[in-house]
Amino acid sequence: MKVFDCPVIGRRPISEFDYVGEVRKPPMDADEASWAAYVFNRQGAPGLLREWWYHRPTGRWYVMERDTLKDEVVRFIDLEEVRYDIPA
Amino acid sequence: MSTLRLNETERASYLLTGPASRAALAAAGLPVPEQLLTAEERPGALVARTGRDEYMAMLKAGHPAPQDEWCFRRYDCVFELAGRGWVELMTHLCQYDFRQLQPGDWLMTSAAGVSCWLYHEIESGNLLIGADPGYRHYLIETFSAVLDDLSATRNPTGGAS
Repeated sequence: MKVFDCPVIGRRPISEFDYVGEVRKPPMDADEASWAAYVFNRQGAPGLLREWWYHRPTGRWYVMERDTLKDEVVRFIDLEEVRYDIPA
Repeated sequence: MSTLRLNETERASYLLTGPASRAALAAAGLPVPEQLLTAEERPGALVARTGRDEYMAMLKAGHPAPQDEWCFRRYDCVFELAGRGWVELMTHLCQYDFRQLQPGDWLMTSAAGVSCWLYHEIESGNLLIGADPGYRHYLIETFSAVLDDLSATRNPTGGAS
């Protein structure tokens, strides 16, 4: 059994979580090339990555900073840190 | 030693959300847990805090329901695991380490692959399990099968005379 060490709810089986990918901010006022890069490309190099995780039993979303090389959660990120405004 | 058994119990479940949820709980004479993902019991009522301003209330028959525009009825199926040895049973169905779950603790996890809420009752020591009613039959069958397996292991009839 693989365990995900969530800093908020503790050690839980990873099967309770959905991995939702890297936390990314859309390039609001960018040209088409930047938008294409945003839509189609992902940062795959090992290292620190901010990721969305969804815990199904509680229905809660978490943002974690994870070392993808060691597969260790480094810290929990407050959602306020990653929020952004959508232009009206 | 009491026998381990699974009972289905009647609890009217409600989800309260929005800034008035605390006041609605208090007005109905229900406890208001302070910490996130914790629960408080009162006679005939169990309330858990599941979000910043979101609460779940499970009430026995006769307890007044909270009144609020943002109070929604839920129809969870609720089971009660009574008797000694429910930790052993749950280890067959859930990957959580139930030795950590103390009386009064609230837990939201997966049991038998189904998202459930669980509460360790303080006075009785029983484990309450609530889930989406669509999984009712599946959960009854699965829990009963594991109960039978455990019972057979404890009381082997054997084949030799």
